[in-house]
Amino acid sequence: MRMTVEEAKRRFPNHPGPVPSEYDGQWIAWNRTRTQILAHGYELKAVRAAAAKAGGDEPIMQFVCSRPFIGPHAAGQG
Amino acid sequence: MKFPYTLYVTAACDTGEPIATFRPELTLRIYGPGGHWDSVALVDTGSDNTIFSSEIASELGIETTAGQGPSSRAFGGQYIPVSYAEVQLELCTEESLLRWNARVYFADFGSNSIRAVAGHDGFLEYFTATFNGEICELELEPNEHLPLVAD
Repeated sequence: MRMTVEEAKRRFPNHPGPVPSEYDGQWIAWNRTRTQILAHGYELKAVRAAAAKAGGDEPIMQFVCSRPFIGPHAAGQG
Repeated sequence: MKFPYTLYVTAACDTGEPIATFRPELTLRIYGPGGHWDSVALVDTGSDNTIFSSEIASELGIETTAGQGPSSRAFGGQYIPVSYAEVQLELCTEESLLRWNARVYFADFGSNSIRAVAGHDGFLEYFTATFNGEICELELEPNEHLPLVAD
């Protein structure tokens, strides 16, 4: 079922995300409810430290892979 | 335990238009000598193992053992050397909390790939998993083999 992002948000308002595609290839640090991004960047340790400074002592870390995904690697790398 | 899929915005492979993509992901806590980290992990029935980024092992002070077997092979044919360690994993929802012992693998992933995968060994083997595509939700029911950690 192909959906636009707006349709998806309307149909599933309580699902986490959307994960921002502009952070593709970066780590992001979510708050505990995964409703707010506290920090982002390319270095895991630095992103977690930045999140702690932003008030998120226990952020939820995620690496963003927003390209179409087949197995553990994104399609069309490079 | 129910986990709504995560919404991503991706470009459709055929048309290139932005579309909504849902992936079955959950927050998995991993413990090490240096504390614990919470990481969003993709629940992947096609993965034999549960794998995290080596960076997380380093940050948590987890001593890993280099795998003596062949490197793991990813979809597309790439080979990924892995190390492993015995750790504790935890799943938490508003209703329940589960913490168990598991052998977890660590790898240096490529520059643009998922960094945490919950596969069969250490994760899916302990649950009945229902992937409900209609409502984009994963339901996990632990089985009797889950090696829970005593409180």
